[in-house]
Amino acid sequence: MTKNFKVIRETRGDVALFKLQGYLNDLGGEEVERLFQEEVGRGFKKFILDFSRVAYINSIGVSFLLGILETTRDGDLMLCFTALSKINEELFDMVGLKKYAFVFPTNEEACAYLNGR
Amino acid sequence: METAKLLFVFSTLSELGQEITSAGNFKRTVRASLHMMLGTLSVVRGGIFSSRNGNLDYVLLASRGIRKGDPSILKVPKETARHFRNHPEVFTFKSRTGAVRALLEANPLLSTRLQAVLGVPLQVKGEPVGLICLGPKLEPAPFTAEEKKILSVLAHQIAIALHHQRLVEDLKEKVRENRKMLENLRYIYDDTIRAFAAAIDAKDPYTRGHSARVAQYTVAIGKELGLPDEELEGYYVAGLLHDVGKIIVDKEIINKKRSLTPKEFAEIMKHTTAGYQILSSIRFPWSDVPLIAKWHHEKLNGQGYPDGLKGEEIHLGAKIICLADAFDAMTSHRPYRRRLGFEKTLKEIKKNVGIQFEKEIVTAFFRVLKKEIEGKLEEQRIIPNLDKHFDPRVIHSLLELTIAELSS
Repeated sequence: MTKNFKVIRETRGDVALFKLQGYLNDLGGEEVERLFQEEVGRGFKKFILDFSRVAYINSIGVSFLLGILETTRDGDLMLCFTALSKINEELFDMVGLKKYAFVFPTNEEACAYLNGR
Repeated sequence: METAKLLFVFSTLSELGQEITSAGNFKRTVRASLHMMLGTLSVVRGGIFSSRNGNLDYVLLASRGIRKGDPSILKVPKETARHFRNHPEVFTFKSRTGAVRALLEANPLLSTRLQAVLGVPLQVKGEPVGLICLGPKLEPAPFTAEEKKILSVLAHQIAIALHHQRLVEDLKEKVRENRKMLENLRYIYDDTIRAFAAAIDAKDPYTRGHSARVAQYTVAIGKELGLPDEELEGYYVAGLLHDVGKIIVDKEIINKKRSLTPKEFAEIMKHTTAGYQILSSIRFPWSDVPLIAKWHHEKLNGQGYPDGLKGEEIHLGAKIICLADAFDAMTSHRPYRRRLGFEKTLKEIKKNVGIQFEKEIVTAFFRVLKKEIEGKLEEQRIIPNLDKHFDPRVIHSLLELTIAELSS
């Protein structure tokens, strides 16, 4: 299990923000999905996943993000990805993750977008 | 396939290979494999199952979509099992062939929870090992031929992991069975030797239990001397069988109530070499057992029999058994005399240090006796076998004094 992966959970009004740090490349990444489901259970409907400090994502990491996207789609929720590196953005494009989330350069821009909805 | 996608697939294959060949936890490996597959193919639900019961059951190993409380075993109709065995390739649940339809009908959760779209039976060298079921992709689009090929390659890797695990489990089971069998053999072996020893002692009502006691005393002394367990086991067996040669000695001589004539004594002496010959034909795990039995009447001063060995020439086991044997003989009734008291026995042993018995062995023996009287040993091997008519305080101080004397 990756010890260099962690999730910091914050709230910005009615937006739940998850700051991901490290390598999203093994079962340790399950934590993101678990926390996401927890916030859904608490009634949050707007989410931001901040990738500014994510160094690497592999197929296992993609799988957990797919789980989050499925919940988003089925639960009529809103999800934004922020601060994606070029390589991660290309990966998200390739596996179809970008089609079900909004992508912004910063958390502020994502928050502004979500608050305007 | 575009280059980026190809690289992504290769990278997954490489990571899957590492995961499978790592010595990690099997369940974790299967879960990681499942997520690698889902992530690579952009699939949101899926499960990996392991076959058992002649391929008629599939046990869930990892899934996304199946919830706690859902059945964790898929029932596999015979026709499906047969079909999978003959067609271990990627199939679509939509195809609704008889075999697939039967599987779906027997297991509603494949439709409800997994929304199964693609499946692939897992086989290694023609042997079914499991099944992979995948649900829909995130994007509502059919699987391409390339994606099915990717699934086929990933599934093959996962099948190997399942197969390896099965081999490991089989091996573990065999080890368990062998260990149990060995344990049973050991019980039979121990019981046989004990029964044999009892049969020897039964020749003389006065020596009933003698061999068992000698074996116990031998182990007690050996333990005190710090001998390793394996050696002690051998000494225990030698203690039980040290008198086996008596089976060739006339019962009349063994049970004679008066002193033996020189001819009769010569007859008795034969039991050591006879014992050696009998025991030499047995393949003991401890090769010294026959020699120990042969030399248990040798004396330190060279006046013993059968070989008249001296000091270091005598096997340590034989020297220990010599003392244990003498102690039990002195503390037991004999046809020709009553037993000696405990105190008198200890004095007699001390008197023979350097003549018949080795000093270090006697010291160790006395230390064990002292510890047993003090109640310091978990298992008492000697005192419980003795006549209770002795004053522990007197014996204790005698032992203390003798130990100090012998150690100086």
